[in-house]
Amino acid sequence: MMIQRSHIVGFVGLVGSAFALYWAKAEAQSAREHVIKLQNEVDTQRRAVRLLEAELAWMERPDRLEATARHKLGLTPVTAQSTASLDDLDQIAPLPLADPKSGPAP
Amino acid sequence: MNMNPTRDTAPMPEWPRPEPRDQGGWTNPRGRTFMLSLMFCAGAIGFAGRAIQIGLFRPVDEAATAARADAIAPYKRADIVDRNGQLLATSLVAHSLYADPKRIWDPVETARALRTVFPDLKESELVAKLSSRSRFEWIKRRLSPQQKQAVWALAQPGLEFVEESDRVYPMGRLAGHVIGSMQPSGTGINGMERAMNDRLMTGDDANPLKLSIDSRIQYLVETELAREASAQRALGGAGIIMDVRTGEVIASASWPFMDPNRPETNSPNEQNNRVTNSRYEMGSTFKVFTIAIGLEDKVITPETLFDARAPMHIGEETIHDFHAQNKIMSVVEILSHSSNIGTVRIARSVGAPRIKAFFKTIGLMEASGGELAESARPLLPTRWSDIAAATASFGHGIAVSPMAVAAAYGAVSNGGHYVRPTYLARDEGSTIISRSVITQETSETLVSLMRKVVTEGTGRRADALGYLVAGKTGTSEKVGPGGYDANRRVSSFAGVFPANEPRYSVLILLDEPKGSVETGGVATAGLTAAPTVARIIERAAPLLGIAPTRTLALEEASARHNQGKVTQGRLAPSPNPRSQNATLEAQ
Repeated sequence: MMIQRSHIVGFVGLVGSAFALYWAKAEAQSAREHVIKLQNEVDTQRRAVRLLEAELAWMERPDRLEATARHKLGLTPVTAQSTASLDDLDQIAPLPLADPKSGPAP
Repeated sequence: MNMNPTRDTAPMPEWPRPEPRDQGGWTNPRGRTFMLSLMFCAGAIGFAGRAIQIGLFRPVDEAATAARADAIAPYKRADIVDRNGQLLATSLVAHSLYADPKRIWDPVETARALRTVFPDLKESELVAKLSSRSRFEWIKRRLSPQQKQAVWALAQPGLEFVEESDRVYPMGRLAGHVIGSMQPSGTGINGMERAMNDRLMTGDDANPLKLSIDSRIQYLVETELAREASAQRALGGAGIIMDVRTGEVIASASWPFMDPNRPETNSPNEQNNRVTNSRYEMGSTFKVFTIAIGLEDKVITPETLFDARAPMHIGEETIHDFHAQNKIMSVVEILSHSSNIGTVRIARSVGAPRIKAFFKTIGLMEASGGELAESARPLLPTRWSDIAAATASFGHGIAVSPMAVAAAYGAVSNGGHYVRPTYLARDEGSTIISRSVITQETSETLVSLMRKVVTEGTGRRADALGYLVAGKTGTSEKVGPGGYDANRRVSSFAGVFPANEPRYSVLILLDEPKGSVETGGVATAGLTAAPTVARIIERAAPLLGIAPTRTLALEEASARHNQGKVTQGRLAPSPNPRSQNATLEAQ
């Protein structure tokens, strides 16, 4: 049986394409592994976000906010006496008259 | 690879000619060599084939499966948020500790080491677990990160961690009864965790369950309810604020509170949701419904007069007034002075069947706990005889949940539409299913009568500064072994605000208040529940976007101006203009 040039070319082509397929598969595999690694990372971050959200809600407990606002800022609950419309503001707390010595009014 | 004969004509090397008996077979060394090489070749081809199959034809995913299994969270349960998106319940990942007894070297040593981290575990029990024949024994579920680190540091073989989902309620006890709690196995015990278990299990992170509760209002109601209930040394208490147009429950508080984070520590009294799962004979708050029937059927007008001069006899029963006015009273006075005799006279003029039918349309004859499973059915008279209808007309002989009363007050005040209460936030523009119970006109008249109770009657202390409150007090006696017990009361105030355009119904109920120093030992509704309602509305109205009816700040400013003492800066609080007279009220 004679070996023809076409046989050699065909054989080399076959080996080459097999190798290319193997290469592509290896690439896909490593890309997939990377994706999974990223997914794991996203998952970890998501868990961390959930934990932080829970901690934030814990910090925003109304009793804690009220106590903090009262003690650190001296704030008290809004009452009907401290509620007014903007139109009434002039009468409730009139602006002090501009003092001519202190310069032109803005 | 080229095993074909070459083309050149060089002579082949001479091989020794085999003897005929030597050809092939194991007995011949050359035959053995040939066979062995054949087997090696076959093996090599097998390996190559498998390598090619793995390298070229196996799917990529298969290789990654193991790695991916780690990435899947134990299981997901949807979050619960309030109507403003504030987080109320969430699932976090916790690590639980188990032992594989087969891999434990020395159960006693491991048990002692574990006790350094968990002093609450018993050594004997641990040793028994660690020397058992199984391959899996729980040591401790849901460790804190510190505990996990400490166990890690013990470096004992055979101790393993597994990830589990842990339900966390960051708001603590706030709205505990509404949110509910969870079993370690992952099913809801009570509250919305139980009622909406399927929805929560199939939901995802991005789609939390939105409750109708406003956690800020809930906090105010809980704070004021707890304050009054503790001061009154009450057995329990309930507080409700409900949107009368949509049926959304804005606040629903049951005192004593329940801690959803530690369901096993709650006593039965703490676990009971009094808002939906307890039934009370509400007393005089029911008079509003009786008068609603009279007005709707045009049997009475606010000015109709009734004789309340003497106790009434129906069958063998005698009906008294708690604080008898001993006079002929108008309907306005019957409600504001809470006359039992007057109410029974109205009830008799509308008839028992009508009372029964009306109570049914305003939801007093059905469980009205919204979505909650802890929703008690009312205790109703077995037969609606004249005497049963007469006592029911002023809230006796019929026991309903506080939520049913709040919903019924909403129905008679919002223009006459009964809307079932719900604990789920409604979407903007969603259709609200309601049934008509009275006309707009009757509803408006009724609210103006309830307003008179607060301005002139038994509910004076419910008049919140700057906001129009309308409502009715109710003080009833609990049934004991020998009939009604005057020492065990239920004091409540049910109402709506603002009275000019009712938006919210409000209810405060105290279960067995004993009287405090402030109230001089008296525990009637007018002195306990009513002032609590005023305090809640004063603080909640600004958060609910309800403007004060009078600009009090302006009035104060002009008063100061008139006194010639206009000062800049902060406004000083004025003395409370509410009536300081302690008014006892009728039963």
